[in-house]
Amino acid sequence: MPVAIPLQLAPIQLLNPTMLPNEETTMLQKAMNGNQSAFRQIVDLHQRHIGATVRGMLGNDIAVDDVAQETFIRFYKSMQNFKGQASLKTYLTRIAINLSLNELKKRKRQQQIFRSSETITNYGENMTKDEGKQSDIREIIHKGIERLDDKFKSVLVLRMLQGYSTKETAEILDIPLGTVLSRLNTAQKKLKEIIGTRDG
Amino acid sequence: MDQDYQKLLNLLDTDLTESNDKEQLQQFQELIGSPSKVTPLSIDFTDKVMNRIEDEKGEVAPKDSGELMSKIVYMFQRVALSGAAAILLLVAYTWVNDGSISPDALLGLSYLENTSLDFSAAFNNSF
Repeated sequence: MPVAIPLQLAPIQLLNPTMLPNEETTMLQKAMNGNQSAFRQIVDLHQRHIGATVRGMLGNDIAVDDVAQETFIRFYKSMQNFKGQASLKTYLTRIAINLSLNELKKRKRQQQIFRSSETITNYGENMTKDEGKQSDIREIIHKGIERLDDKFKSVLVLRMLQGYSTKETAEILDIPLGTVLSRLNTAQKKLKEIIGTRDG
Repeated sequence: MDQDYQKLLNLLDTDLTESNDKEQLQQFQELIGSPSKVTPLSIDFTDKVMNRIEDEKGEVAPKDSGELMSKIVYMFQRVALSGAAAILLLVAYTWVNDGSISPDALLGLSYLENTSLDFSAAFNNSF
């Protein structure tokens, strides 16, 4: 008579955890093995950064919270695929940027359907006096970035608002360093055109 | 503020290369502050994420099921409720309109009169 052998799953190990701090590696491995409070800690640790990234991409919008939530949920679902080649922050930022770009595409489609002269803001349009009078320099940048094309938006958000180097930006967006440099140079000039037209 | 604003414009005007990358980044950070200053998310953000994960867990398809049956059951669960609601609506609509839920009424044949059948039969017989 065959003897039933109890099924015991081996704990999942990260293949290349060198990019991660020790504490984060432990937390991640616990989360990968189903520890909910470890995953909660990951969310607590990275939510501020992810929120700021999504906010940079989408502007002040009700969807920011949803897209940020979706970022962590996507990560939760695909956590087993994360091998630790990039830092967890970089990996989460990549998901956040991709989801934000999807959200922007969705909005564009909706704008095409419900096109209205009042709701569409054209690129290159001068900033209004109210916008120009924003006291916070970060706010001015945010408002300016909102009017850029998506591909310029993502490089500027990562670089200017999130403080990533060009190399890290290239890694997150999965594009060559040369492309990042060229996009950043163009984006900076366009941003200057937009915010440079404000009234004192 | 105006001084900072002018600094920003000048900074945006400088050409970015691999060599001045760090320097420009530092200048940006001095000007606009630490990136972690902004918190645009709701206070109970973590709870919301954890709740959504819990909710979605119940809907996740069986992972190691190579079996066709479990996949069919999973697909059926997703459409069963809306399917049942559609059937109930159809039955209710038929009952209100025809006062009956006979197969004829459900197929929309309750208004077909015998005379029209006789006529078509006679018409066919004439050939």
